[in-house]
Amino acid sequence: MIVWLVCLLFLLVKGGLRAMIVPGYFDIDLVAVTVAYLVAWHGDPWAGAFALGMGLLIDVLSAAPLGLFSVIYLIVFLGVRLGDALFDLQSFKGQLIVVFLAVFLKKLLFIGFLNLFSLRTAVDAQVLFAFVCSAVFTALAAPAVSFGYDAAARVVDGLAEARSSAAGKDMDH
Amino acid sequence: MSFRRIRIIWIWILFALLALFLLSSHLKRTRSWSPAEQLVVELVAPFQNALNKTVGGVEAVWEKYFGLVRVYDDNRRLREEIQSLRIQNARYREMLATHQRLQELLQFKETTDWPMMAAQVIGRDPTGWFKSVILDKGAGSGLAVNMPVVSAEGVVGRVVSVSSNYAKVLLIIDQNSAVDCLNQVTRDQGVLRGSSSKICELDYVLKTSRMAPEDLIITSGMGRVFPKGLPVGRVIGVSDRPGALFKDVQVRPMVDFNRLEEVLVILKEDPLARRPQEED
Repeated sequence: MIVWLVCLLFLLVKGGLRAMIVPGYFDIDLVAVTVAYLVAWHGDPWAGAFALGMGLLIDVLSAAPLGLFSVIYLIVFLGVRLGDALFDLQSFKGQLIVVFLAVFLKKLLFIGFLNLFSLRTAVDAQVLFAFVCSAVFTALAAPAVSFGYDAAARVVDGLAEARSSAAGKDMDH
Repeated sequence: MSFRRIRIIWIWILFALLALFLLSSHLKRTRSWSPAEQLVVELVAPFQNALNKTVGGVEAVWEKYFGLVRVYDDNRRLREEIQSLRIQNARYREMLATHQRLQELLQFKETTDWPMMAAQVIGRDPTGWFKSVILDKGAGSGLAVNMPVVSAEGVVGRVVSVSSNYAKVLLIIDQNSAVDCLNQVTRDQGVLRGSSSKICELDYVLKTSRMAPEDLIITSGMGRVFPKGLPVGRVIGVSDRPGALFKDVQVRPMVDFNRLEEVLVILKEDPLARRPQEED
């Protein structure tokens, strides 16, 4: 639930932030990081549903052809799932490698799809550099984001536990 | 009454008479102090001076040192006051900027005959590859698909999706956007296409065209979505590649899309939606 909320808020403010501060095609892909986190710690169904849901949300909010980002994030999910088989996604190193590859794959797929839809996309060295930077920074952010999710989940669990114990005491009284 | 008491009264009367005599004898005199007076002044003045300085010094010490006790509190209070005034100032500046933008929009609205609806940009495309914005008005406010969206500077885009309270606008800089345009000077026609960057391209400009940088590009009205004559952008580059069928023309849009906050939606019926009914 927390990951959905965090990513939803991130997507809602991302466009405005991009317009203000982020140059060109540079992009920290929180959705891909979260998909990797869910695959590593919560299993495939959660991760797959999350990838599809966030993809659909981006499709609705953006001017992209409907379904484009849903497909792309499902492919990212499959890529992460494949990466999990090859690397240990629960380790720091594994997270870095898998998230880097997943984000870079997503960017290349995106260009492929744009060309498929006959949209103008000029891929030059600058764009490729932005892709690599995006993949590197997203991969570097992955362990911190995972830690943040874990910490937030612990806090929420603690609150829920405290509430349930308080409710139990009230029942006893 | 005792003799002593009578003597004291007489002494006081004498003093009073002396004072009156001195006063009356000096009434018409304009000269300076007499030698005796000068002597008195010379004797007394240094003491007066010293006394004054001492009082001044004490006063200064009081103000500078003992007054410091209040300075900390004053300083804190003034800092808080400055902070509060800064925030207030920022709010007023923001209000002023909003007022100016709205005034520009209003002026633009008054120059046209089309019914318009002002709307605020509340969200932007999260992908970075596509260029669209979300408006805070939707079908409930009369918005419909394919309605043109403008700002005081020029054409912004067109409505592509609506819900009851919100609408999505495809900006003219998006790669899916195409607007039929005219050069205001040479009347050459072309199709303005976005490239998801700050610069658009004007396609299908004939080789015979005399288009030049700084020419104003306006809507032609041919696409039936945008009314004719709305400013779109300025030509920033024209090149003529040998072997190419058309000229390469780059156009910088009039609108700064990164700073887009308020827009006007022209409440014009969707001509593309009406077509089937007309055919019926």
